[in-house]
Amino acid sequence: MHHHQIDEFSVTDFRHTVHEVWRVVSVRRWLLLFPLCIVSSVAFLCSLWVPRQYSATTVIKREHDPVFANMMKKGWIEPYEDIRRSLGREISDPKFIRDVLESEDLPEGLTRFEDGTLTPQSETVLQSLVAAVSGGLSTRVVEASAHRDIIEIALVMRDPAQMQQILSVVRDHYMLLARRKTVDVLKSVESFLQSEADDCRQQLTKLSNRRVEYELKYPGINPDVVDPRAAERSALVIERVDVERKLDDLSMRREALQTKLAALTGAGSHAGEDGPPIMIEEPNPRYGELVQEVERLERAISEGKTIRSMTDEHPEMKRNRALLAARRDELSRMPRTIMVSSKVAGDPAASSVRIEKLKRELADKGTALAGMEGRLVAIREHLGALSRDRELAIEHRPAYLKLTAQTEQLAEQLSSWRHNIAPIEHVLYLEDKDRSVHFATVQAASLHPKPTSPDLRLVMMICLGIGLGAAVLSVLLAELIDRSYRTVKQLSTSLGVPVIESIDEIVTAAVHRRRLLRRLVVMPTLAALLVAATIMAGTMAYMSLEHPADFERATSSPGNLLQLAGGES
Amino acid sequence: MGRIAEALKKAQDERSQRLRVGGGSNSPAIGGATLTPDSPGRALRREAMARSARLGSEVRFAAPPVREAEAPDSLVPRPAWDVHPNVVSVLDRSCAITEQYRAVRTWLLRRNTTSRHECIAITSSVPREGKSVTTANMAVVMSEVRHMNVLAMDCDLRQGSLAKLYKVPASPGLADVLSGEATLEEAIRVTPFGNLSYLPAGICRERNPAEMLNSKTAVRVFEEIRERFHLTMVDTPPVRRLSDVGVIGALCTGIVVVVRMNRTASHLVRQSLHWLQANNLDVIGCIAADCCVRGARYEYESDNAS
Repeated sequence: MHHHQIDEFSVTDFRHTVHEVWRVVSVRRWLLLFPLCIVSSVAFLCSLWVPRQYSATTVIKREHDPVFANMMKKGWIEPYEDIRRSLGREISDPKFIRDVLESEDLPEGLTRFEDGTLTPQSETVLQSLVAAVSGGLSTRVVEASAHRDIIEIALVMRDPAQMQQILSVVRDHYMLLARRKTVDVLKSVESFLQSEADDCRQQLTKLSNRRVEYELKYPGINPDVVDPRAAERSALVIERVDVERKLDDLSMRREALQTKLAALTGAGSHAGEDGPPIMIEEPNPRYGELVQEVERLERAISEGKTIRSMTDEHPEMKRNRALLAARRDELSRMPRTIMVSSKVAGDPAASSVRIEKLKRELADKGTALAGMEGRLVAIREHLGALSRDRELAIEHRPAYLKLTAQTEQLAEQLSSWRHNIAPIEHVLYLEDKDRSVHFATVQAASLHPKPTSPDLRLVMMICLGIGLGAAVLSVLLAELIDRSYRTVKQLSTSLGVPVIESIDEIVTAAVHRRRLLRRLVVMPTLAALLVAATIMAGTMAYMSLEHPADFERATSSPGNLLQLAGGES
Repeated sequence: MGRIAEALKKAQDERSQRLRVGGGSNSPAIGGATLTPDSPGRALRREAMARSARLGSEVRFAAPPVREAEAPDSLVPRPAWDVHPNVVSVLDRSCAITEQYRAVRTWLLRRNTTSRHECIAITSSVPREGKSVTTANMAVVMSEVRHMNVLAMDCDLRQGSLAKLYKVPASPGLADVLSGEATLEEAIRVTPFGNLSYLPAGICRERNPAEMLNSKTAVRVFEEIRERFHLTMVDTPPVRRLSDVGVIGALCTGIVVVVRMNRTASHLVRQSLHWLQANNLDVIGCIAADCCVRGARYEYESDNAS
């Protein structure tokens, strides 16, 4: 058996290490357990004095107003993103918080001099509170969308007494501040838009005046508008053609009258002489009648098609067409004039009357011809003037069109300004009526019953970790301090003299009983007491963090504490 | 170990058989010693009682005659002896711890090739390392060698504890012999194991123990003892505290250092050893005491309980 003990270290290093660790743990198990329990208990109890941080939260909703939403990319003086970004900075501004606290007369119990200034002690209290609130305020964007922001405002402080009230007033004042700031921004934007719109309107007026000048100076310069002189010019052209045609007709008639007059005048002078009769060409009356008949029939057919909605198979249409064809055929075969002998034409008396009549007609024709010629000249002059005006208008049309484009652009811009101004005015109206939709309290300020710091799990882990570290450290120290021989091998190599034998420990019955008593009763009892103390201390730490109200109530009476600890465990 | 176990089992069987033959009951104890009717120790017991009556003391044994036993026999039944429980070799001769002491005995016997009379001092670096228990047990197992006269000698004149272990009076003893108040014959007692004698420390009344040990008387006493006993196991004070060991060691043929495992600081042991060697004392070896081997202890406890 002793040989086995001597040779037991001929195993691998790993096994040796594991064996050593297990030996140390098993031999020094109480040294491991007791510091663990004692130090952990002390750490748990010390954790009761660690300052607690309480937190209160409130949630506000901030609607994206349509104006800002539409103007995000237009580079306004303070877009909505900036306002949102500056929320945390503004709400934790010490000056802002001090103003809020002073306006709400917080904290209670501040004393002031007669002039209203705070006493030094109160000033110190207020400054410390301002610093605590400023350092403890934080914001968190719970939801951020294109339409709204939901923002959680949290206040973390050591003293939970007035946290809820402070957070409420800070939130309300911030909402007022932000609303005022928003209104300022809106007003600034509105004034900007208004000034831009006014500038645009002035430029538009100038351009419009110039356009009017152009249009007045060069009629017909606007291609989109019908030229008022085009009708006049067309009428003049038609009238000129008509006058020219009438002029030709009058000239022909005048020549015919002159011929007829000359024939009549020659026949009168040779009335008594037998001679061959002179042939006078006269209009064929039948031809005129046929022309009128054809025109009447064509008009009847046209009316029957358009107005009366007759088809070609209608009997009346058939009859008219057949009659029209017959008349046209006859008209084609009918000469316009017929030759009449001057002898056949009449007697001399009648001839003189006719000559007179022809002369009068000839004079009338001459007068009419002169009038027509004068009118033709006037028409040609007028048409020339119109053509010159038109050429000028066409020449200035590009400039006019450019002006028109500028005018349209300015008009569009002005419309855009007006489009932006309208919702701003609407929001400002709502602001004036205190019906703002920008801010709303979604969740009132509420104080969390549990302290947020220190964290329960962290405290538990740290306390147990410290205890475990102390236990391991004590075991390590004990191992380091213990310089006794552990094995026979150590002894033989250390002393340089032979180890004759290793004698086992002699355990007498009394020693055995004492050891049994120590191992089974004393040490387990002590360990149980220490474990119970550790659990008790841990429960107190747990209660102080998780149920501080119950813990306060329990610590006021030790009986309650024991009852509470028993219930919790 | 297997052979030893078989031998132990065989010895136990023989002992139980003898007990059955002898009536199976122990004899009444005299002075704490229990003898079987036919045991060889009974005559020794009678002789011891007669010597005790002559000396007029409680239990006083004279020096025993040198017996001519042939070989060590640990299996021969020995008379019962009421000793301190730590003297395991008396109470349970077959337990592992006794076997370990026998291993020490073997080592010492083999070392002595010249068959000279040995006087071995048992010491340690600090108190309570197991010197006296080792001395007591070693003397007992040495006495199992029949032909050897063994003396257990307590030289710790200040706090001798061999008397407590053997449960005998501490006086007269070595101190009385050195101070001339008693003779060596009066001081040496014979134990129930006939070839094992015991010399207690005695009571040191006047002189300093170191001075007493450093006297010529002490030299003469040690010489006489070495002449009379084949082997003397000397219990000494610890090295670190007193200078007695230097004197005693010089009177002995060798020193065995007891080191209590898991208890005594190693540097103290080394310093003690260096001190002994610096004084030209022959440190023949060391014994590692209180080794924690559960098996041996349980075996011993179970045997003890039975």
